[in-house]
Amino acid sequence: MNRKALRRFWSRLNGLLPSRRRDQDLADELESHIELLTEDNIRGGMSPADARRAALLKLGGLESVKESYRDQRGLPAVESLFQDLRYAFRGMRRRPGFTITAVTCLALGIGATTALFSVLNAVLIRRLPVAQPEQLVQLRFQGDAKLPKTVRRSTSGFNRSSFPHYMLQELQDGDSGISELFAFVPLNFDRHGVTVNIDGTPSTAGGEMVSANYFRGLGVAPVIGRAIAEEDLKPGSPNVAVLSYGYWTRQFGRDRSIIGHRISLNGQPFVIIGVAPQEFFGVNAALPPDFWVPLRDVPGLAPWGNSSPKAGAMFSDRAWWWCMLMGRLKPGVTAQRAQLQLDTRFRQLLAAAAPADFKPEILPHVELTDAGKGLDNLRNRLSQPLKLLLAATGLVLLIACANVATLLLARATARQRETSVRLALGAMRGRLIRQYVTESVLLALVGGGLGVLVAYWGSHGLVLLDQDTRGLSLDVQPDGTVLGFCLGLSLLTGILFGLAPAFRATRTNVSTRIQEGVTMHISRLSLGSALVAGQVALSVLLLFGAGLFLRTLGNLESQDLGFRRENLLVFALNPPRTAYTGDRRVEFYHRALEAIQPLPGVESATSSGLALLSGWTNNSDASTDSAAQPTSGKASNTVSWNTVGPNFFHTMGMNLIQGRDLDWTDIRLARKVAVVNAALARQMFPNRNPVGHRFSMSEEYNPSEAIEIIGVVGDAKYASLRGKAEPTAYISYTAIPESVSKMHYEVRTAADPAAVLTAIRTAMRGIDPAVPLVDPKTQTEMLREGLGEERLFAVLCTVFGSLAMILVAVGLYGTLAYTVTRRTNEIGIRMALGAPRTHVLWMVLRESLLLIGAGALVGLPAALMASRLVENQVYGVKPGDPVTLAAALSVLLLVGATASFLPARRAAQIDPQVALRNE
Amino acid sequence: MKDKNDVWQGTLALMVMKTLDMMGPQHGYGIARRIEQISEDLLSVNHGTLYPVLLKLEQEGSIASDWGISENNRKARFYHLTEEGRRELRTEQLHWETTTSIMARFLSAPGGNQ
Repeated sequence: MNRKALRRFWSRLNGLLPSRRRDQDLADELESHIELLTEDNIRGGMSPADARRAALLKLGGLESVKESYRDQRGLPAVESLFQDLRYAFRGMRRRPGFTITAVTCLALGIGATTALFSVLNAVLIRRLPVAQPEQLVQLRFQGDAKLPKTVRRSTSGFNRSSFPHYMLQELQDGDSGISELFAFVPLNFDRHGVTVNIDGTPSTAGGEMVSANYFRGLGVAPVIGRAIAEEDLKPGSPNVAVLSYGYWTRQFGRDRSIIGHRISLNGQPFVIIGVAPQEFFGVNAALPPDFWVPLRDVPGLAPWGNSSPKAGAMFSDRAWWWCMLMGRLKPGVTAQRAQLQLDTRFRQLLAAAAPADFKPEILPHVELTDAGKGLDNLRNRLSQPLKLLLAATGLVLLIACANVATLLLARATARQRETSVRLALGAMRGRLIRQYVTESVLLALVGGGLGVLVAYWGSHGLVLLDQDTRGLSLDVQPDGTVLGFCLGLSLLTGILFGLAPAFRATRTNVSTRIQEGVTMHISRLSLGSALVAGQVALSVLLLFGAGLFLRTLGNLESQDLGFRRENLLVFALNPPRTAYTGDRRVEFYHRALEAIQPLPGVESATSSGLALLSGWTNNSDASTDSAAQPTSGKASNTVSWNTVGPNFFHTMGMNLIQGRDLDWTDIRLARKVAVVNAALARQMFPNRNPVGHRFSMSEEYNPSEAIEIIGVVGDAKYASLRGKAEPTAYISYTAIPESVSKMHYEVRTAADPAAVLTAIRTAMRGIDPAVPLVDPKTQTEMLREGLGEERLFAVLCTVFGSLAMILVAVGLYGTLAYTVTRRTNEIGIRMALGAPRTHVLWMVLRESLLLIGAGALVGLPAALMASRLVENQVYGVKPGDPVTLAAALSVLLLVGATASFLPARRAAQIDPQVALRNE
Repeated sequence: MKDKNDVWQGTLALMVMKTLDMMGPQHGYGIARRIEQISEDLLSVNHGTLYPVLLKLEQEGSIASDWGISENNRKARFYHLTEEGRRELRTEQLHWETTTSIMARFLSAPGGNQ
């Protein structure tokens, strides 16, 4: 039975194809039927004419037979859909102006939303391109209690995700629900942590140390060569590296003979054994490695870029937590069960290391988090902004929908006579609504198709706007999810903006509409007006948002940094620790600075452990020698600190308030001296001159003696552009040389810094050709890059706001032009009765202003409420800033007035005689 | 969702198959005539309704058709029962006989209002 139905369905599908032959066959068959019947009738005694007539009667109407035969042959529902589509296509072709306007509106709306969504998809939704990503879990722990020093003395890496190295082996050995437990640790916090020497040319890159089962555990096979395996971790085995596809492409031009090639990483020889697949970027999208090396102690190549001489102890030290762990659940094992097993084992191991008198309840608990999408730093950082922006594009799309609905409504009104005639002829209302909605859905689908193109370009542009996403192998190529989203969105919008006009158009009193000519327009525009006012309300939101973000960006860019950003070149040097340690390293830093100073074009040069506005700071607890402790009542004073070289404040253009700058003598003699900023002076030495006083820092970077303050400078920005200056100490770098992992150089130039760069490169090659310049850029570039997110918001919101303005202008113009056309008569009469042209002009403008006013009235409180959502994003401006709001409203009013002036002028130019004759 | 028409179509389909089983290949007119004859003109078939039924049977694979020459030397479409159609006929016939016998027994049972 089922098979029968299936077969019938199939042949009916075939029957959908138009075929003249099939129609001819049926006609032939029926004709022969009629002739046979006619002949029989004649034999029965009828006249030939009667016989044929009787035959036709018996058959029951030739056309109705053909009709029911055709219904049986094909699928009537599908056929009527095709009919509707054909009709809709014809309609679109007949009105190219309308179609282009509507499709463009929709393409922009759908495209913008889809573009945003595809970035969101790449960051928040898509899983790692590895085998069965849903089985992956990351090990983290819960619990903040301070642990005994035998359990945890030091921590490196991200919060709550670093474990001691021995756990990798011990947790795997226990019978757990994890099939593979693997470890991975970045060799750096940024993308320039490792000096790579390829055929004598030094450069910088970022890499990861991974356990032997990392690639197996993730289910990733290299495209060429082999993955890291157990034998690569055996003592005495040669150092090996697997390259990322991107790095292979950039550095080696996808040379397949690269396997077996030797390179050096921080001065250590490594052999390339494989290249990872193109789509694989590791497990942390925020820090995709250029290469992977085995997780073992290699001189000069420590996890987390640790530069201390003790770094080698990380592997054996059971109280140093630094290893990130990830596991694959065994099939059928839930994360909860595996977590329970791992937690028990984890706490046993920790308890064994703890002293006898400790309380077991302070031990942290293992927690398994879903790692199918990789680590969540990037997701955490981008999820809020992306969702906000997606909401903004949603507003644009809504405006576009309202706009097209307005257009459709006007069109439906124009087609009212046609609709009335069809209804009078017996068309079902449902059938007509279906036809209308088919048309709007078709429009939306065409718009959506173009929207995919808009999205394709848009999403790539979006990724480039943000510095954090630009460097990533973030794949925003529209995939199934994105295309599905776009299709769903198109269908939804098509129905959304098509339904109301469809209902409106078919709700009509048949007899009056056919009789009536032009004159009635009482309630016709209430829906259209509401739609226009709604668009205005939504664009108030967008414009206000754009205003807030533009001002935020402007505030951040133009604020006083506390130092001069112009003509300042910044780069870093990170000589290999195998060759440069202790005094040799400090000597290298000295020589580099001395070599830069006399170069032509250089006004002055200095160095610092951390570059300003790089996002990095050092923070420590500090105490002063002074008997009078700070009156603020704080138990401890957290200070930010940086290590700096000679003439730092002069070179940076910072304002020295008291005392003196650091000079070469301080540096050479490794004096324990520092300059502090005004904020620190205020906090630690209220109402006193701090110069001459001493302070000490917490034990980690405690020099043998307290640090003497030799000067006070004005507050300046340190890590980031936001927030006010923290109490900061600028310490001579020779006072705590171990704290410097790589030295940054700041070079103040007379003219364009880029011109000096070549000279500096040559000079640095003269000191050691194997040490590359790390990430050279101007301070202005750095500042701009740091504002990626702010720029993203400002640019996008401005684009969306402008888009909204264009849409509103089109909507307003369309509505008013339509009103004027419909009211030609009335206006003619008014003018004939003596109304001046300015009066008519004002009449139309007033209508537009009413619409804008109504929209603004709704949009204003909504904008004020929505602005609370972006409280954290804005800077230097209150979320409910009245000036910005006023500016947004003025722009709106200006655009609205311009858009309505044309129809208003046309109304004023109506010739009463022509208008009245028109009737 | 069987309405009256479906029931009629189903019955007509069964008649068509039985006719073809008894008489061998037939054109549409022949089938219509035969059904009228058998029912002794109690059943006046609207000849037009026959063709959708024939098409449906053909779509289901119960019958097949070829073009041939009719007794008055005209091009006509001849339908015949397929193997599957024969099986279908047997099942349907059995089904119909059971139904009618149940209905007959049910209707001839002594009524309470007699």
